[in-house]
Amino acid sequence: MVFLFTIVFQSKKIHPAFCNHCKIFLSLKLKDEQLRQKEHIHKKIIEACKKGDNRARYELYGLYSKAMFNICYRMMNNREEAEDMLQEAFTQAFTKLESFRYESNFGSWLKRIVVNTCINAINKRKVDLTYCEEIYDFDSEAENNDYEPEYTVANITQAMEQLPEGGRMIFSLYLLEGYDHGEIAQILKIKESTSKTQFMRAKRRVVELLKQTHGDAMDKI
Amino acid sequence: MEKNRLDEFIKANREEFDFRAPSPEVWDKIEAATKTTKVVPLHHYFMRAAAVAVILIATGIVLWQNSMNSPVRLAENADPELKELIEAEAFYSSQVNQKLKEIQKCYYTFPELKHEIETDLNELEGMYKLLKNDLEENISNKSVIEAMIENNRYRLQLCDDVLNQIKC
Repeated sequence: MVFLFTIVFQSKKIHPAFCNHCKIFLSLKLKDEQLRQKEHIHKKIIEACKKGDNRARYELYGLYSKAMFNICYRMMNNREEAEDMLQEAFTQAFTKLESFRYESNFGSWLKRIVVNTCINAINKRKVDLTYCEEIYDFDSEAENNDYEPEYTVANITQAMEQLPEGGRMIFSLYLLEGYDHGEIAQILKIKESTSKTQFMRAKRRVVELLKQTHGDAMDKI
Repeated sequence: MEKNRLDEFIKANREEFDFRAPSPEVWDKIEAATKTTKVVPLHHYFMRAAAVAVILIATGIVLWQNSMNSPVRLAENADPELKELIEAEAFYSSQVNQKLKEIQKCYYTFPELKHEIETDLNELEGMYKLLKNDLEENISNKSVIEAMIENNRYRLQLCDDVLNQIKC
């Protein structure tokens, strides 16, 4: 035993590079462990929720409700409807949680339920989605080009709220919710090319609106 | 280009776009809606084990009580004389049945035989029942048991006699 230790000790002395490798390897392993533990804690809550534990459900709700509510708000564009959607989506998520098998990230699983709930509600109104029209392009481009629009979270949110429904949804699904055009096409049941052109128009419109508000502010001064 | 700066700004400040918070009433509604669909945790390992144990204990109790009330068990608990009676009863009844079968073969040749033997046997059977009642009422059990064995012996004797007479 002692003999073995001395060999290890000596080898460390002889090969400091080997020791360094060891350290890197160890730290990597530690990070991996931490990550797994993080996932594991999460899994515990989800498993408890599956068994109908109300406290675990509240915990899970606490972890995700804010992010999900903001998605709802961006989709519905008003607080009351957004809260209804949040309630419906979470109720649905808890009842079909049994089918969640950890194949995907829980956050994206839940997010998909939230987005689908919102879109179903919008489709139920049986009114066609309104998209951004080309007219917006001609209005301003030359006119306001000299202004440098000011980007703030509040400004952008305000501009987004003024977009037509379809354009607003595509804009937030792509830039804020992180879906690509293929996924958006699937979610909204539109062509991928439609999603792309609508996104470009919506973005142009947002920049225009930002320039306008900035311009108005400058005029007042 | 401004449009790409917009993309970059949103990506860099993504977290800050989630500035709204839902009102606390939303949770109350979710809680109310999901409480009714609460899953009974029977699939829990412990619950399964407990359910199996309960079933085993219940069947065990039922079987034990049945065995306690069975005639064999009662005989074992009773005095040796009663035990003897039960054994004798079993012996004679099997003998009588065997002989009756032989007699029944001859019913065809002696049709009046059937009526005769059946009335005799029924008479003995009726007496036997009376003796059994006496036994249950605990009246001079020793003599009653003797009479009962005697009754059985008569029945066998009757069958033997008949067989000897008809010889078929």
